[in-house]
Amino acid sequence: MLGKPPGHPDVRRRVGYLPEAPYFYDYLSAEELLNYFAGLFGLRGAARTARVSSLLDRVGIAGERRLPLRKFSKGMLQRVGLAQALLNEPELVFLDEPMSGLDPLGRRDVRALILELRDRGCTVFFSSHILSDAEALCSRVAIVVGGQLVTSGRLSDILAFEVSGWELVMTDLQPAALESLGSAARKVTRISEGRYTIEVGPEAEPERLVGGLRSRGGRFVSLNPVRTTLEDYFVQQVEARKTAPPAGRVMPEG
Amino acid sequence: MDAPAARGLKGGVSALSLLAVAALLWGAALALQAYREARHPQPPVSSDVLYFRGGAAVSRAALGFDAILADVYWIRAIQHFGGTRRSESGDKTYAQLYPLLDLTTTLDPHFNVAYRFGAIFLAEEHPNGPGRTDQAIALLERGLAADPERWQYAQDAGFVHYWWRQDYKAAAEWFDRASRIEGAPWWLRSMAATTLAEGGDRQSSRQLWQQLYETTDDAWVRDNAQLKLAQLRALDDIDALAVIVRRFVDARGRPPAAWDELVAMRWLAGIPRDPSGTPYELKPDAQGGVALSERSSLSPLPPQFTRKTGPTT
Amino acid sequence: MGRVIGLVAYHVFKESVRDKVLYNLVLFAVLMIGASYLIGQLTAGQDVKIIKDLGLAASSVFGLFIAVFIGVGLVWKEVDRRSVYNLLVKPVRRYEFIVGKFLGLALTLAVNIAVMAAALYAVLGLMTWLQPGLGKAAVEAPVMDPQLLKAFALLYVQLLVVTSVALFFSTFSGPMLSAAFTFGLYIVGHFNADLAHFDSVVKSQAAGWLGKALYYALPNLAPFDVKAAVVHGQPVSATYVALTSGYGLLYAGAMITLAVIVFSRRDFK
Repeated sequence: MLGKPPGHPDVRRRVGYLPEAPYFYDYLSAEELLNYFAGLFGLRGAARTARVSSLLDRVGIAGERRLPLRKFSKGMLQRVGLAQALLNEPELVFLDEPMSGLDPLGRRDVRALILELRDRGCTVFFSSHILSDAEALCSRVAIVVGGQLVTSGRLSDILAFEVSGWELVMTDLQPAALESLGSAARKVTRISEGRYTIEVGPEAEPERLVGGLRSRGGRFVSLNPVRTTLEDYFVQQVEARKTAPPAGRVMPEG
Repeated sequence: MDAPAARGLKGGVSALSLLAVAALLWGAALALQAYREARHPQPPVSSDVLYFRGGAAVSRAALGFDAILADVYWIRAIQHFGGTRRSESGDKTYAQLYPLLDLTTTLDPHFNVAYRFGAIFLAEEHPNGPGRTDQAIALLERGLAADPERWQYAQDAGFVHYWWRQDYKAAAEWFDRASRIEGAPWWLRSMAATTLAEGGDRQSSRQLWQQLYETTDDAWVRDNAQLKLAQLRALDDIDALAVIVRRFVDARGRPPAAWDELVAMRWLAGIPRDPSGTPYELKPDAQGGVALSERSSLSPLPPQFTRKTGPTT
Repeated sequence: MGRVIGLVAYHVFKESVRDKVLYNLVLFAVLMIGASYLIGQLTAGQDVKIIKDLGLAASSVFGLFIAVFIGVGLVWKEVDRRSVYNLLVKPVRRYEFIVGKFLGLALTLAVNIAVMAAALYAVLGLMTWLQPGLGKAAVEAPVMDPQLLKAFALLYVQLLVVTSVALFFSTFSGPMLSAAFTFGLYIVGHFNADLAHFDSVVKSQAAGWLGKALYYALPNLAPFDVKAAVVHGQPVSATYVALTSGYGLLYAGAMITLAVIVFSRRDFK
């Protein structure tokens, strides 16, 4: 790892790690914990203070820096965990479930942080159950099912970025208008009175369809292309190994 | 930290060399212990004592807290003594006093005061104490065995013989033994001689207590000596009053009904009081017709001197 | 290397402070002052001896409890709560972790013992001040006897041995078991001298050898107990203190090394 045997102190000096469901020391505050770990990495004095404060700002818990960790919520602990993983400005970061316990805003922050690390040239290795995050962030992914590596590769190789159909949402549709679609609609889902989601195949021309329905009194809401997602791919991979337990996970590499 | 030679995921040196370090440290520890034992040997454990004697077994089980246990038993001994002494019940056996003192001094063989006060408690005449002079001497002898340099124990044993047993020969022997211990005061030697020559004499016994009163550091021992001195003074008073009473009997043919009669005759300046402030009592059936009040804190007076009547006027 | 050990040690100390472990010192002071008042009422002129006995005994009890109950959790708690995973990916070697933990508890104990010694001297000083004649009455040993420090010093080294034993158990077993083992060794440690003379009691030669072997393997704690000698003003030579302390420190060192070996061989997965 990084040209040295794993576990070598030089390696550990250049690696960051966020454990899953991190527990840190209850009796310390976020700031004290980071100071402690920064000291382990050999940081001291003003450099340490500066690094710790900038990380506290970056993960968004600067306001709670003096609070003892036992009062932290799971999401806040996750942020502390991220901060401590980055103390040594690592070249390689391992994040075990970095998104767990976070609210939507927190997830967005973490996503931004991971992308920022990538831009700095840092390799981020994280595991997640949330496939959309992986899809949005990763350049390479690996799928692990039941502890076994199923597949790995570049995300662009795994997912052909082609449109597999369209998803159309319209309101004020009369039953007659729906019937006019005929076999073009692969699936019609009623959302509420007069409001439907209509899935059509890739061969359908969406402009013409929308035009036809509007002329029958329907109102256009949205039109989205349907693509194969990492989720689809994952499900497909898991189904392929019927014997494997359903709980698999994706190990994407950012 | 910065040694690149360190290897292994588990951080550092191989287990084998660490084992060698542990063995080395262990060996050094044992060598040091052996050296210490040669220089400062611990007393060997006598298994008889460990398993068959009460106090000693407790001491082994106390895990280094024997001194504090000794304190507890000492406090209980004092409470037992004081409680029994004050109790109204007629059955004052002080049965637990010696076992408690034994336990105290076994747990803490250097418990100075447990020997000295314990002997005083044990020797005290019934009902103020169990009157076990034999146990008092035995306790002091154990104290001397534990700390042979404590001449006070020998001195106290002399006192027990002198005061409670009126065995002046034995008392003189103990005083002599005490005087030969290093650090003993000079007057112990003369005390031994006086005891042998004039044993039982009130004057020599007053000297004895006076010496003790002036030389002791301990408030309790001093108080005790003061009490004995006051009792001796009361004995003198009673003798003097008996002379006056006899003169009254000679003059009137009957004993006085009250001190007022003697005061009216100007034979006395006022109602006579003992050193504790309690008036003496006229008791026709008592020897000399005068006695110490039973309410007095000096009561009862030591037996041997009350028996000894006859004023020295 | 020293810096990492220092950081780990400092945080053990910090945790014990925040766990309110040092509150026992307040309790100790209250106990001493209360006891000195009560004992003055109960006993005839023996307050000084009993206060010293009580002070030294209470210090050993408090110290023992701190050493055992913090000691057995030192490593186990970190493993149980999985915080050790996060710590060991940092540039911390395993021996640094163990040694740091030990030194941290040693620091906590040092502060405890120092404060308890100070409290005992304070109570004795107060008694001298309130009863000016006291100094004369204490014929065996001076009231504010500097010899007491020797008893405290040996007590401290003894607690270091107990701590090292607790830490050793803590590297591979849970706290209940470790505490039981450590207390067991403490008790055996005080009876240890019996084992050395086992061969004179039993007929079987093998049992005699076993007794001897155990005598050397188990910590010998009785020599650390000089409380009675000090209270009675009997001399405790500096060489005795030095030799006994040396034995204790080396023994603790051996235990710590064993703890490092066990901990280094553990697989945290």
